[in-house]
Amino acid sequence: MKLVCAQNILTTNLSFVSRAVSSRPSHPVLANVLLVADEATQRVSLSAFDLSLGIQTSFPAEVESGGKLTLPAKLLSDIVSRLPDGDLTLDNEEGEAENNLVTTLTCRSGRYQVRGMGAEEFPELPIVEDGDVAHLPADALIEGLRSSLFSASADETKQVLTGVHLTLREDGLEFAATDGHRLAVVQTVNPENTEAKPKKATKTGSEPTLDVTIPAKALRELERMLDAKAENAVALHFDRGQVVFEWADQRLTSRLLEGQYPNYGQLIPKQFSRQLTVERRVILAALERIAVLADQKNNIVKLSMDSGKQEVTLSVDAQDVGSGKETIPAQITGEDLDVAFNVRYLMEGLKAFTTSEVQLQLNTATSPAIVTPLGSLKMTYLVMPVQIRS
Amino acid sequence: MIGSRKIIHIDMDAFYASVEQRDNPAYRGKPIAVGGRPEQRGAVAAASYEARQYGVRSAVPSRVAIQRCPHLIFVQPRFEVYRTISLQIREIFDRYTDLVEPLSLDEAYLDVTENKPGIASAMAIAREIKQAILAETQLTASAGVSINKFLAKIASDLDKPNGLYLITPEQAEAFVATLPIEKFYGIGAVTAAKMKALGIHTGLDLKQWSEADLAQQFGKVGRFYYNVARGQDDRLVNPNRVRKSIGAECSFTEDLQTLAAMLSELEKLAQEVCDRLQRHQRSGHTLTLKVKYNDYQQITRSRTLNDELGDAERVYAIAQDLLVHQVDRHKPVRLLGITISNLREATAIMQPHQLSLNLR
Repeated sequence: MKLVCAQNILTTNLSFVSRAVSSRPSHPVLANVLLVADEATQRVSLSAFDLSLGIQTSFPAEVESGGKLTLPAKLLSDIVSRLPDGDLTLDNEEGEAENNLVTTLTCRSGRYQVRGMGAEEFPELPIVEDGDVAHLPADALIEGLRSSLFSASADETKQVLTGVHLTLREDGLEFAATDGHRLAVVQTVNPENTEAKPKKATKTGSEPTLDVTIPAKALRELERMLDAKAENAVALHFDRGQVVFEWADQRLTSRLLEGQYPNYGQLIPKQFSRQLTVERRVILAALERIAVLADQKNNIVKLSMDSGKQEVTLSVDAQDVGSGKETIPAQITGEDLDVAFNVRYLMEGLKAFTTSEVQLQLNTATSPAIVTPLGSLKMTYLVMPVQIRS
Repeated sequence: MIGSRKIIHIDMDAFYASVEQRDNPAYRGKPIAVGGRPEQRGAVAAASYEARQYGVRSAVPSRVAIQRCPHLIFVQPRFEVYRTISLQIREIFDRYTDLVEPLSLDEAYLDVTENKPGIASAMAIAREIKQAILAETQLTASAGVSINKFLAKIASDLDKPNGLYLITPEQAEAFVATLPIEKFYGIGAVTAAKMKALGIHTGLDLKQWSEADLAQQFGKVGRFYYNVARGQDDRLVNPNRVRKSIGAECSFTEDLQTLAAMLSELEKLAQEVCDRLQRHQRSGHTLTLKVKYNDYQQITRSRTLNDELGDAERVYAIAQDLLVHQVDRHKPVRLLGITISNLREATAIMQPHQLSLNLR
């Protein structure tokens, strides 16, 4: 195998696949990246796979002779990313025999030799042959991921909650994520471009055509990669155990999370006795200042509604550190109430919105509150309050 | 009398309500109830003596309380204040003996058989303690003095408020004999009804029963009844008593047939358990639902949560869930109980607490 490619293109593509390289590989070859050069298409593809997440990306190159090999992923990207701009040559045909495991990397400033492993040991990335397929616009996918991923649990013991639940219906795609304290539900309605075509007649009636829980870790990579190339539709292939995203020159595969995802729809109250509407930027800016003190202690911000004055006071009392208070205008209906929240939860939700006004609706200081962007029905963010015992 | 113990039971008078009246002159001489407001579906945790005249007592649902006494003033409880005062009172007890067994924030047993100042008269000690409490907290307490916990507790109730009552060893048996059966510690409405059905109306009636017969009728607790009917109670004052669980249960005079009836009783129990948790300044992680069917088959179902359980609404929600999903709803139910275990320290529950979604 011998090929020539641009240093910056190789660096970019190595950084894409590097997240799927196992940090503690169960087999030595999983610490490597698979490199396949195709003389006919004049393209090179890179793959990495930690047995859960798999990423494949391809790019054009000058392929003199095709072939396959695997190279230590970290070593290779650490070297390549530090090389100067310009063309690189990768060659494993120097020296004696075929199947040489030593690859020579030549650039303007010099040459490196890196020992790899045979490509035959590298496992194939999963493919979904008989599953269902759906096509989604990249921007809808990015929007859904951006607005839901932050609510997924970071606690690995929470299993199904470490993922984002995707439901695809005829009329659009729904993303849901919860860590047990808050829940984000996003609908990206896009009837023209979103099409779901179940290959098999396994589902009937108004049942969702897609209903899977995908690890947040895989979706964060997807979000990162899509950001870079957001022009095309993304094809989703899935069966009971795997999901494969395919677009442009890239492919991302992930195992699905097993287990019943909570029936979150029933958690969202339908009626509220209290409601307040505020300017999103105003409350977010105030919360960011409050958070400086709240972060010192337990992240708690107290919201005190004053319907008479039509304003809400945000306050923090970080014992032994300090305290703060800000009052902002709000349209309030319902009886006055004091309610406390984790300031981080509020800020993360407000940052995911794009509207100029947001609405907070709740019943009591110990029951779920929901935050919604006003003038857009796309997102519902539910936050459980912090109970302050007096 | 050699071997005879000297036990004092101290019970603060309408503790939470008295504290509120002490700290807020506007409440003095008025009917007040400490606890959740009627619209919060709460119950009265403590009522002032003015409110008690209207039938407002602890554990009465707030919406009932306001009906009985329309000008009742509801006051939010301030547990940290009660706790501080409780520690102040505890410090007074410690001047006399180390054998103090607190039952809750406002109640304790003291064994003063041997005491630090070397005072021979338990009545004198009780009087001093009452005076010290009044001088240092401006609150009144009632004290009962006798030879064991059972009698001391009865005694403290006889002269309330600001009372002091002695039941001597010589009076003990005669005293218990005249006591109506429902006044016995540990005998609730259902047991009392059962006893009356057996012809037991007073301590004297109870004394006629053999230990074996009482054990047969009432199980383990029958032995306790046998002893206390004779004014005997050998339970020690245990300063290191650690509560492992806090619960409430109720036997029903008529079996519950419908889910609606069960849920309505369950809601009351949840409130009662949470009131008790608050009184002990505890919260727990495990909820156990106990159900006894009318065929006497008994089941318990538990759920353990990461969150602390101390809020009536939440305790009810979980108990309801267990009842609806784990209990045979077609069998009539004669007893329901909720117990919270895996208890947490008092200090821990003063911390703010991030609530969780009820994910299933």
